[in-house]
Amino acid sequence: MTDLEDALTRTFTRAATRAPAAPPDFVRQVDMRYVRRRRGRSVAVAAAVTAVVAGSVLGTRVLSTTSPAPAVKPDTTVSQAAPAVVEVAPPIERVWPRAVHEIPAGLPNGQAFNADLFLDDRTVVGRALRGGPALKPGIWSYDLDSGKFTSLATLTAPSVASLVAGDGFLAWSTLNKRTVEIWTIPAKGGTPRKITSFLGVSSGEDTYHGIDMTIADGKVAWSPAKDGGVYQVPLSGGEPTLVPGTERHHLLRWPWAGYPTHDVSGLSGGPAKEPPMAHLLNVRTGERSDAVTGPGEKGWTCGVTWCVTFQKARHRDGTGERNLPGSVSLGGPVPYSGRFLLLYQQGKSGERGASIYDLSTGRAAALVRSPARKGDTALPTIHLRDGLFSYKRGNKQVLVNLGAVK
Amino acid sequence: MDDEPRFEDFAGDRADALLRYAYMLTGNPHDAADLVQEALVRLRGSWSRVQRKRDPESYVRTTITRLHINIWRRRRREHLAWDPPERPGDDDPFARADDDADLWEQLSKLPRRQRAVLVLRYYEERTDAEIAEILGISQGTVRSQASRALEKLRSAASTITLSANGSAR
Repeated sequence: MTDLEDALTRTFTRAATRAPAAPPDFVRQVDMRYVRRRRGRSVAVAAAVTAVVAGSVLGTRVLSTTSPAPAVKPDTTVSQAAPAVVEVAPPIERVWPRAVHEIPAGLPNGQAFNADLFLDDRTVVGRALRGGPALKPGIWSYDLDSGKFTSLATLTAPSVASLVAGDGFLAWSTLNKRTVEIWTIPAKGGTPRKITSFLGVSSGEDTYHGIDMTIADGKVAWSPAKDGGVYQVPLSGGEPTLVPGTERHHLLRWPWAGYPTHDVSGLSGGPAKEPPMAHLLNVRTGERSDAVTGPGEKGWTCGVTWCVTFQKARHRDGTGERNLPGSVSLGGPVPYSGRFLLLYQQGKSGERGASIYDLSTGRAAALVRSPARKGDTALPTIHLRDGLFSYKRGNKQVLVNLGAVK
Repeated sequence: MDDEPRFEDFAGDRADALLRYAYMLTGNPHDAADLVQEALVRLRGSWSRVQRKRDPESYVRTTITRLHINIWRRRRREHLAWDPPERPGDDDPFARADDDADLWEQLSKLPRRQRAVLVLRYYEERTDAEIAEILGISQGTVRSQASRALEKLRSAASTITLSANGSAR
């Protein structure tokens, strides 16, 4: 060894004594981060991230404008106290046959099709991002009746987040160096139009945290995931404006925005803080809604209508608490489309399943089931978004239209 | 079966060692903690598959290394729930000796892959074949990256020695 090599060994060895030690709840923090990821807002910048990821559930939170649920309004149709002994729910094809569809995993040209949303009960819209060098990324629709794909637009830059739909338009965001650009096309297809752009990564930072976006009231509205604030720009284009009084608020489900945000929450194991989204603001009317929590309570995460822990759910006003028929550890304790959770269920015989649970009716349906034998294949990766759950099955993909669950 | 190793046990047992390794790669405690958490999140996602192959340690170290080199800078950084202090190396009076501090600082100026090669070779004491496998590169590339890194450190060391005689470092 040379002197330099000796010095390196010595430097590393001494540095090891300065390395951080794991805090007592380190594993729990990993768990929470895992869970947040599963329900979390897509990894925004790099498609490369998928290279190392394996298994389980991927979440992308896309805000949807359909049927905004009123806050703090107890739902009277809910079944009481689900059983603590869990069985895997019956298959979704039996429970909600009109909500589940199997479509090709890719376009006829071989590009994978990422389904983002149901434009209506019979039309799926999504993105084809990868393919050979000759294949451009694009937005496509799939007609469930004819079984045909139709191109809606060709993209010059791949979108970094899922599409959103509303008011007859589709919108998505891209990141161009440090600038976030928002693009739209008519829902029936057309040439992409950049309607606004703004700084997404300030100087001195090297990370884009993404935005939560929706279309409503003739505008595209979004919140930067890190700093919050509800910004708007008309669908016709223009400069972003901050909706007055929405500082620090994060869009949850139009027209509701709230704080604390999900990502820096009491979930992360710090001292007891308020549940994520404990405080909501109706961006349209200025109405406020605060979730009711008991003193010292931890682990709740709130949506517009419900608050959820890993095993329990109740209304925002604290009423109607019930046990969940399974654990929300798969999808994270946040209701999708305001009322659906993905539960992990395990039956007495060892059978396992990932099931969709409807908080508003208490019904559950197994999306995937896996027999009890050891060495059986793992549950597939399930993609979660408001409005749409999906997973790949061979050269097909199974889509669940949450909007069609009655 | 209940006798299968649990992810929680593995993560709890290995957290400190993994943090040390990540700290060598990143040079700062925040990135190290973030990196280890991220790698463990991914390990958790594929735990049943990885532990069947009986080698979660090597899986997670490879993940840490490749994440750091290939992906980390492009990834959205999540909120880190705890603020990891850099521990003062009180047990070693020479821990912050000037020459080591200089070398530690120079390491931070190396490209990530070059630094990783040095960490694997001089801290982990891995063979070039092992390093090649962990990084997913050829042994020839391992050797060229190592010699380039050492060359940079050597020239930096001579600069430092010169300027140390002046006023500012």
